[in-house]
Amino acid sequence: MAQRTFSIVVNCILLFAVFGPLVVLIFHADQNFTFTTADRAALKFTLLQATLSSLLSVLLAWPLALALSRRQFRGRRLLIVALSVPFILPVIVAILGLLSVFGNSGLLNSLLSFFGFPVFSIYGLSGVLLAHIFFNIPLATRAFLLALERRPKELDRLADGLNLNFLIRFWILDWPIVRLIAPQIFSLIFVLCLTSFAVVLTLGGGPKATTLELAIYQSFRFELDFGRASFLAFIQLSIAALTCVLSIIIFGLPLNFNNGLDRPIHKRYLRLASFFWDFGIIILMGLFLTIPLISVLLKGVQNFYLLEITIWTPIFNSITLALLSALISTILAMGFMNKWGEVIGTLSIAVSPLIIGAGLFLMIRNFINPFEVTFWVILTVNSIMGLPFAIRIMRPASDEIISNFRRLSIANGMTPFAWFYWVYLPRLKSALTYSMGLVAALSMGDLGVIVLFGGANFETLPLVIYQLMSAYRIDQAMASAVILVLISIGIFLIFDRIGKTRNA
Amino acid sequence: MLKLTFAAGLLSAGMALAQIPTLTVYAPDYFTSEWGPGPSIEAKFEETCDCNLVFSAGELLPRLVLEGNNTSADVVIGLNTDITKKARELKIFAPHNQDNGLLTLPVDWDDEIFLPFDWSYASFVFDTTKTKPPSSFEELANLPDDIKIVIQDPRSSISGLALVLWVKKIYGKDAGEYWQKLAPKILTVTKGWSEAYGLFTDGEAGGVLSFTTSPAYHIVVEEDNTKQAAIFKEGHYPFFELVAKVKSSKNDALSSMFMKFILSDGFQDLIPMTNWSYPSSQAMEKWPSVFSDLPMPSSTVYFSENEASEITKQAIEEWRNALSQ
Repeated sequence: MAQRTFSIVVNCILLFAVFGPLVVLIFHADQNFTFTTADRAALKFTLLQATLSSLLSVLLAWPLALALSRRQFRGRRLLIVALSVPFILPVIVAILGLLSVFGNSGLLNSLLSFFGFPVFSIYGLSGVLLAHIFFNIPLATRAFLLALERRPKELDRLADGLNLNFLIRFWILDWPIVRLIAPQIFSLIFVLCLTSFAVVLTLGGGPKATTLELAIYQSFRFELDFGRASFLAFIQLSIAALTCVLSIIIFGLPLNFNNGLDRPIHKRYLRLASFFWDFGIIILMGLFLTIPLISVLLKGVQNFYLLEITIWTPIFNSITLALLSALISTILAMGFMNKWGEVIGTLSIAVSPLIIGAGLFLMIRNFINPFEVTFWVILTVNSIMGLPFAIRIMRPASDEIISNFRRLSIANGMTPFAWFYWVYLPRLKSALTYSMGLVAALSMGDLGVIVLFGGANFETLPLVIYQLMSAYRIDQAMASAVILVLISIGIFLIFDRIGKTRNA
Repeated sequence: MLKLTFAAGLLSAGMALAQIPTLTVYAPDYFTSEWGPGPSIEAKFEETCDCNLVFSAGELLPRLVLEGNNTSADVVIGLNTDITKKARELKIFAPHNQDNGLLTLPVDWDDEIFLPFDWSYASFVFDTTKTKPPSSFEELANLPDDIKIVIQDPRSSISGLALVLWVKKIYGKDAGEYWQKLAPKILTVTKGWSEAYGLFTDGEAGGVLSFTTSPAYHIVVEEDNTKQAAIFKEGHYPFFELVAKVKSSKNDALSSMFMKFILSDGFQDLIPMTNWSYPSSQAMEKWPSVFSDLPMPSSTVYFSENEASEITKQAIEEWRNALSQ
C-alpha cells in the first residue's frame, strides 16, 4: 500500500515537473502555431535519423551483449565500464574523438590513402548514425547484459545438455529477453536521438541534417518567440510519448521464464566456432567504441600541464551534483516501476533543457529567484533527466524479483521491511548500482540548464569545458574533458564494485 | 570586552560592505569565465567606483524577457548587432548617454541605446601550412579540392548569421547561387563558433569561419604564426558586441558610470588580450602591436539594423536551400 502511494505521488510530481514548465511557457507567451516547410523537412529528418539510430544501436548491441555474457576474460569489466563513457562526453569532445578515427584526416582515411584507396567522408546521414550508435550501443548492451545475467543459469545448462542448435536456442532462451528489453531501450535511444542537435548538425554535414530541436533553440534564443518554441517542444514531446507508448505497451512483453535456483554461473562448454564469433564481435565493437576514447584520452593527457588550480571547484561541484542526482533519481525511480512510470519518466528527456529551464523559472519566480538557487535548480533537473535511465535499468530486474519471490516471501510471513532488505534489495543490487553509476556519470557530463541559469556563481566541469572552448583554449578543454572522463569512470567503478559485493 | 569590540568591528565592517552599492551586469558565459574579459574588467572598475560589480552569466535576451520588469540587471553586456532590433523592441533599455563620437569603428554609429564595446570583422581563418588564404569569395569557392572549410549555422550562431548577411550584401539576389557554388567546399556546419573552431584546430578542416582578430590568440598565447585570416577584396562584414543600460535599474548613477568606463582606456586596454577583438573607442596606435599588425580589410560592407531584420529570413532560407541539395 505504502509502495503504491509512493508511486502515485512520484508520478504526479514528475508529470508536474515535465508538463508544468511547458504549459506555463505556452500560456505565458503569445501562441504561435506556425509550422513551416523548413520545420516539415526538419521533422522528417528527425524521425528518419532517430528511428535508424535507435534500431541500429539495439541490433548491434544484442550480439555484443550475448558475446560478453558468454565469455569471461581479463579486462572484461573494465571494457564494460569503458563502454559507458561515450555517453557522458561533452558533445564536441565526443565528435573530435570520432573524427580522429573516421574524420577527413582520421585514422581510417590515413590508412586508406596509405594503401592507395580513395578516402571517404563521414559527413551525412552515415555520420549522424555512426555518432548515435557510438553513444548508444553501450547503453543497450548494458541493459541486455543485465537481463542475460539474471536469466536462470539452469536454462543454459539444460540447453547445453539437450544440445540445442543456434536457432532454437535463440527462440527459446534469447527471444523473450530481446522482446522485453529491446523496445524499452529502443524508445529511450529514440528519444535521445530525437532531441540531439549539435551532433546531428556537425556530423550531418549541413542544414539537411536539421532536427526539430534546432528550430526550438532558434525560436527561443534568437527570435524570442517562446510561443513557437514551446509549440515545437510540444510536438517533439508528443512524438516521444507516442513512441514510448507503442514500444513499451505493445511490444514490451514480460518474461515468461520459470524461476531458477538463483545460483551463480557454472562452467560452460562452448563450440570453437562460437568462440571465434564472440571474440570477433567483442574485438570489433570494442575497437569501434574505445579507439575514439583512447584518442581523446591521449590528446587530453598531453595537455594536463595546462590545467589550472581553479579547476578543483568545478570538479567538486560536479561530483556533488552527480552523486546527489544519482541518489535522488534512483530513489524516485523505485516509485516508477511500472509501464506508465516508464513512459512519463522518458518524457522528461524529450523536452529541451532551455524550455524546462524557462518554464521552471516562470513557475517559481513568484516564490524565489531561481538565479539565486542555481545549485538546486540544476540538481532537480539532473535528477529528473536521470529517471528514464534509472527506471529502464531497474524495472526488468525488479519485476522478476517480485514475480519470483514475492509470494514465497508472503507465505513465509516476511514483513515488508524484511522482504525489502533481505530479498528485494540484494537481487536488485547490480541493476541498482549500475543505475546509480550511469545517472551520476550522466549528471557529471551534462551541460543542461546551466546555460540558461548562469555560471558566475556556480560552475560545473562541462561548463568550464564549454567556456574554455569559447576562449580558444581547446587543448585545455580536452585536458579538462579527460578529467571529466576519469572521474566518471572512477564513479562507475566504485558503484560497480559495490554492486558485485554480496551482502547476505 | 576585547571580544565585544572585535564583534562590533566586524559588524561595522559588514555594514560598510552592505552599504557599497552593487552593480549587476548580465553577460554571456564566455565573457564572465576566468579566460574571458570579465574578471579583469570587474577588478579595474572596482578600483574606482567604490562599488561591487557582480556579473551574472547565462543567456541574455531570453532571460530578460522572462524576468520582464523584475529583472535585477542594471547593465547588459555582450549583445550582438544582428539581433538588436528584437532587443530594442523589448523596450527595456535606456539611452546610454555617451558620446558616439568617441567611437573608432569602421561604420558611423548613431545608436542611442546600444553602445559597442569591441568589434572585429567576420573572416575565414586558414591554416597556412595547408593553403594560402584566398583573397576573394570567388577564390574561396575555387580552393583546391582537399581544402575544406567549416562554418556555423546562421539559425543557431550569431557568427553564422553574420556570414549569411555578408554573402547577401555582396551577392544580392545571386546569393543563393553563390552558396550552391560554395557548398562543395563546406565540410560541415556547426551549432556554434566553438565547435567549428575546435574542428579547425584539430586539423579536420583547412579553414573556419571566425574573425580577423582570431590569429592574434595563436600568435600571443601559442606563438603560432600559421593561422591567418583571409582578407577579401569585396570587403568584410563587421561584428560588434554591445552593452546597454536597463531602464528599470535602480542604480542609475552607477550604471552611467559603468557606461562611461566602457569607452575609457581602462576598459578598452583590456579588450584585445582578453576578448581577442578590437577595442571600440581607441585609435589604432594604442592597440597592442600584434593587433595593429594583423592584416586589415580595406572596406566594410554592412546592413543597417532595419535592412538586416528585413532580409535575414530570406537570406537564411536561400542558404538552407542551397546547402540542402
